[in-house]
Amino acid sequence: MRRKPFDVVLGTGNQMRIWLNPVDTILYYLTLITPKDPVVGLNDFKVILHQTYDQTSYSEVSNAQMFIRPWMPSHGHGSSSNVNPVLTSHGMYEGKSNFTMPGQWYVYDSIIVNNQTITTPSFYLVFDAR
Amino acid sequence: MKKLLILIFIFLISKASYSQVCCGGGVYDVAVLSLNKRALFNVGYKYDNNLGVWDSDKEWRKISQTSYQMTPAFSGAYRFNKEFQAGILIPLVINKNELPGLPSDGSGIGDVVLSGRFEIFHEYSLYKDKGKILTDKKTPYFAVTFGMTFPTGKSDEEAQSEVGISGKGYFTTSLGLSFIKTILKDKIQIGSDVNWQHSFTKTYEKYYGESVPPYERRQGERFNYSVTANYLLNFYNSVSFSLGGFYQSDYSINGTGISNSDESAFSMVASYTWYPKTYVRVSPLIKWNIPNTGYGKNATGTVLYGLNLVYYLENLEDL
Repeated sequence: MRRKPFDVVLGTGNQMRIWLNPVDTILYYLTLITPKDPVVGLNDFKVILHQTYDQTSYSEVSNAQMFIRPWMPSHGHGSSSNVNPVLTSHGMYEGKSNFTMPGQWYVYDSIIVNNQTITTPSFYLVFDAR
Repeated sequence: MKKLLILIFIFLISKASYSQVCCGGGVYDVAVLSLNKRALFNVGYKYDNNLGVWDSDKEWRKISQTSYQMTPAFSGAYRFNKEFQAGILIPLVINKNELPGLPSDGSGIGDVVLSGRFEIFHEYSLYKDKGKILTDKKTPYFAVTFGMTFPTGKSDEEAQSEVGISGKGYFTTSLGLSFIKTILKDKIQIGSDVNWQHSFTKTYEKYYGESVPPYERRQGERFNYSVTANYLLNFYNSVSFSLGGFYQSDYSINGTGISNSDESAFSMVASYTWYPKTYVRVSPLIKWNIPNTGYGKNATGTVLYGLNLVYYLENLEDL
């Protein structure tokens, strides 16, 4: 079922990744909801995933699987105790990301839809933990 | 002469340490024997309080949570002859990191360190000239140092969380030089230690106990340096002060260097040594980084308190 069109407005701290999956030629939108102000320790990791065929009509993707992996590139290590995001409502996925020390972190997010990985290995969001 | 030997010994044992709370393990100061000692047994304790980190722009980032590492350790050393001695260090690593929702305590055996030194010159050696026995007052102490760290601790591959990390998970070797020169006999010495530390590649097949696609990681080449001044207060007491630090090149993943991941930090060490007996030493020390922007890069800044209790076996034979 398609929902009504809506405007997407990004606030400060939001991040959006847009990419075309060449296999199904669908354009995907991943929007970060939280954390906007990441802290050292566990952070609620919340994103919403949309798709569009024509960039006019958008729909939430509610059958995705997500696997996150935080990584601190300047130190060369990741973290433990992360929780992969799971669907909580229409297109909304929630998990936990652990930033063990202050500084810049990448959160790699591997997303699978219909048994097909729709992200590349270099797909990540950037955070500056304080 | 006895005083001089003690002074030499004090310098040798007051080496800076470069432990790192975040990554487990680290290089501990391994005690060293002077010529008049055959062997030593050392029980040490360190409390390393994590203050923050320097990021890749050298900006200081203070942390607010309680985070520290305690390292009780046993070490021993044996002098084989006038030139060669070797030692071993076996640490126990205890981690604490208080963050909501995360494990806060962990401990385990750390990385075992074997080290040695080949001493090329000793200060105040005796020599013969035209039938007379003279003392060489010019030649400084000079030694080649070497060591190897074994990954006996638990690394981020096997540990269940950060506080469970007690070792680096890979072998390292070190090669360096040690230099000492007496400035004012029986009172003041200066010296310097430099060494190059090489890390071997580690292949990860798991990360925090969970399977991952295999990848290889290798720490960058590391260069440690320190300059130390010692002052002998009297026969039973002395103090020393060291300036030191390290520089480490970029680490690599699957053979590719990661740009701007080089590390550096600058630190100071002050120590006091008390000799209640010639065969017993008690040495508290403090090591600290300067927690300000510009004094480090991609490294952890800490303040460390340590205490070493050493028992010696005297060297009764002529070397």
